[in-house]
Amino acid sequence: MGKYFLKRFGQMLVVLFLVTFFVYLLLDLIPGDPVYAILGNKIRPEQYERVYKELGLDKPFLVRYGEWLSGLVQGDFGRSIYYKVPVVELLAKRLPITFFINVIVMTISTSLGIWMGIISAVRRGSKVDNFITVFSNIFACVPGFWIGIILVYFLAVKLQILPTMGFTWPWEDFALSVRQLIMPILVGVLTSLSVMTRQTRSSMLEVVNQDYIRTARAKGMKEKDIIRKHAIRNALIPVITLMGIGIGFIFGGSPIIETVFSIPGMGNLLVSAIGNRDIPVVQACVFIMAAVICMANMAVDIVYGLVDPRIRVK
Amino acid sequence: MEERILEVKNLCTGFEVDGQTVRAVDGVSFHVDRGEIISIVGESGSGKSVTQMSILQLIRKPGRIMAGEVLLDGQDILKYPADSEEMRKIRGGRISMIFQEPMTSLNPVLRVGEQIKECILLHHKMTNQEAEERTLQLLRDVGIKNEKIRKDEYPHQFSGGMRQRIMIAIALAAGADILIADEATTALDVTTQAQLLEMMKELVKRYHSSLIIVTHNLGIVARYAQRIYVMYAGEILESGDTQQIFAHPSHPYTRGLLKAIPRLDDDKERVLEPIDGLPPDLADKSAYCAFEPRCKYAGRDCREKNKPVLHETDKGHFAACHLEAEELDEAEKNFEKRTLKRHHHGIIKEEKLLELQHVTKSFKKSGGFLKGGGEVFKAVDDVSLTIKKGEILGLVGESGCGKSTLAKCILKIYQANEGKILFRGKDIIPLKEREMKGLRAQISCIFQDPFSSLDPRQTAGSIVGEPLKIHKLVSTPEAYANRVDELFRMVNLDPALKDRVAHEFSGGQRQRLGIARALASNPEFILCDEPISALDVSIQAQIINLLEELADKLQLTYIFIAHDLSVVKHISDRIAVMYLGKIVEIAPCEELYRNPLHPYTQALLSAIPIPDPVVEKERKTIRIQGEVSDGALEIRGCGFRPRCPKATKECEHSMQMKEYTEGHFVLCNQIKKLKEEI
Repeated sequence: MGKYFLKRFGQMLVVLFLVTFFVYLLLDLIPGDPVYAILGNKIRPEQYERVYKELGLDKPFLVRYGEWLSGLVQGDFGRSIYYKVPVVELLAKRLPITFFINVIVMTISTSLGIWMGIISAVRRGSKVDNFITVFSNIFACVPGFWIGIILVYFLAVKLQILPTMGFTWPWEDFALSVRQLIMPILVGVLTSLSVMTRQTRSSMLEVVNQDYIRTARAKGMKEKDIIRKHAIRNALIPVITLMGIGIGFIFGGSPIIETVFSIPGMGNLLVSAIGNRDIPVVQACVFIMAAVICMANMAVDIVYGLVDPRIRVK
Repeated sequence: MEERILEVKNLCTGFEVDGQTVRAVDGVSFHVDRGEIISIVGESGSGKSVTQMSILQLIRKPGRIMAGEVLLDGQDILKYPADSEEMRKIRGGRISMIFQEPMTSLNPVLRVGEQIKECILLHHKMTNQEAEERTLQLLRDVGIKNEKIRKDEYPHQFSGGMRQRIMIAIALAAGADILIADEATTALDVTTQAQLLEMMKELVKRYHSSLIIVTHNLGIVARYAQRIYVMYAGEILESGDTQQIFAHPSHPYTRGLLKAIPRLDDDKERVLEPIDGLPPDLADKSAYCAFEPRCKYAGRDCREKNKPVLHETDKGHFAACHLEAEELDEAEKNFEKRTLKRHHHGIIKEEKLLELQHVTKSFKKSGGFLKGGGEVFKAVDDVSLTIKKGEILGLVGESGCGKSTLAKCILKIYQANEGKILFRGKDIIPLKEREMKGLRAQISCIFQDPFSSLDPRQTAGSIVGEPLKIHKLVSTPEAYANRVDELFRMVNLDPALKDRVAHEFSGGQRQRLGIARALASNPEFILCDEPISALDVSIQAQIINLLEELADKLQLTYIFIAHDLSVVKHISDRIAVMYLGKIVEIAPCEELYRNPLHPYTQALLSAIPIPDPVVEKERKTIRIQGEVSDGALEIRGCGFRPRCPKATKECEHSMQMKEYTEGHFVLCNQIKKLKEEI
């Protein structure tokens, strides 16, 4: 198991290294002169000079990349051109918010999705199954921002029971925090739930037709215990893979949710940084998202090994 | 009278298919006494497994038990709902079942000990500690060594035979009175099969419980069962005492089966008489006798009178047939004259068609990404063989012996590492694929599984005709169509079926397609890799006869691979026995059966039960323990040594193939002593 972990960790480092390379390449891939691209054409030569140096454009690519990378390893993402502060300071405020929301979304949508998938598979063809299938299909094909806007329109504008926007930490004002969080979390959960539900349902249906479930029935086990003890663990193996993808999906969706609900998270930061041509911030955000997804996938592979002994041995 | 523990009365189980009820089990009645071993015999689709599943109410939708009673100790258990407390106590607690597929019947993510313990705790009030001890005891009972370590392992760490042992342990866990072995040993090697059946018999005796063996293998029945029920199309056609049924089979189907299957003690000249036709489609069963369309004995009565019911023909012997035993005997006299004795021509020319010289194929055991190179494992180890034109060589060995690897080397699917494979004197090993092309037309093959070896989306005609196009053997579309029709007729298939796809054919028909495809390029040599193992017993004889007939007609040469020595006897001129990559014995067919020299050959022969209880009783059997893999890591000397009952120090030395009598070679250092014993 230790070996397996090390191997996966090594692979992850390789991937992350490649990610840094491509992220850094961003600067050089912008058409035209990056400084003009960032600041526009109407700038004074001193300004140009300053930013040119700040971006390290006077040095060869590999040297710049090396410096950027060594800074990154030490937790230094450079300075934001727009906000004129170190990128790390921005991230320190923004990242926890995004994490906080996404972890909640992830937890709810996974547990709810698995639960709904199991119910729907066990009671296949029943009304509950039909309802769950229709319900999850509807939200699978509706874009998240639309759900967000509709929710804002009804709950915040018409009924005025929830605030339209903003974010407050629960320890600052618990009631307000909860009220502000309801809509963004709902959007996040609804959009990511269906994939989870449907995957669990189909893998569960496959498992209950396996020979070892028949063996368990022939032992005289209760149907409930068969599902709990024999079926779920086997059915979750493909679902776990999906969780890795799901984390990526949820993080990828956070710019949208955070923009719709004006939440000062990393997604929001990324969107405005792109608008402001704040390249160092964009680089940092993209890198962090990639890192999160990589780590999520590694975690998935490890959990995979824990659940399925056949993988562990290899 | 013995205590009647289980009695099934008039059981009917149906499946809803397209709004129609298909009766898979149609009025089946049987019983088992305490301490008895009975057998339910039937081919696939006969309803034998559904019957057993119905007893335990394990039938799932769209299936449904429609009528009947299942009396356990006189109490009807069908009146309990399928998921009731009472029914669950019976399942596993009173009646337990061992299923066919040991590879998939255990939960892959739970430790085996846990899976056994779970069953104990379900049915007995025990502490975890006590259950743990009982688990270890059970593992010892079913012959698993190092049980303390192995109980914490997962199913994939066990071989098929070992997994089936664990299934047996689960079945025994709660001390059930009735064990149902539903084709439990079918997928296993003959030596493993013999070990397991012997063990089950022992355990049943020890605990004074009962055993129901559900199988298609009449040999097993003859060796182990006290009474037999023969099933066909969801009904019982004949039942009675084993001795009685084998001595005086009263139903044409039973008679047909006994004539169709190859037997170890057969005279080589005996012609296998297949049962013509196919099992009936259960969806539209007629009101007449279900076997009538395939019955050679059938008279006018059979088509006019209603379905025959089971009636006593002799004391305790029942059959469902309008014809009396005398009438059957009379009819038999008539068609025995019609059976022509075919004699395989054997070697046509003293010409070496295929010659293998010291062929070796080794694989590296994968060491993984970071580990680097692993150990080298020789799947085929220094094999030398010669096959002359027109000869049929039977190649026999259990799974893992390297017979399929050898076949793949000959077909150049694998590249042999060492040695020479000479086809018509030309070594094919160094040939490039481009240079092989001409030879590929001359070397053909027929595969084991007719269900997965045919492309499901191609029509039968194009499957058969494909080699014609590849080797450019026909020039016009008419010639192509004619040749395909001719090939269809050669294997006794109607050319009108050309446009169907593979799944519309039965197993036997699909194998005919496979044969037609193999014949398309006019080959000289065909490699038949277990061509009949996946087929029903009544169909196997059809295919064996067809292959033999074609060999004569087209002057073909075969290597016929099988895992069991009874099958190859009829068709082979010479037989080679393989063990751990080496040929351990090779001899002319009859010589090998008369005088097997290698202890492994002897063990293989004695592991195969003969479908005749009288013969079975007289037989002396040699049991070997363990499995093929047990010797896999042995490097010095004989690979069979760890399992060999006759092994001595001498066996650690290297061995040489010795000629014992003319054409009879054996690879064993004990051979001098063996000679004296015989």
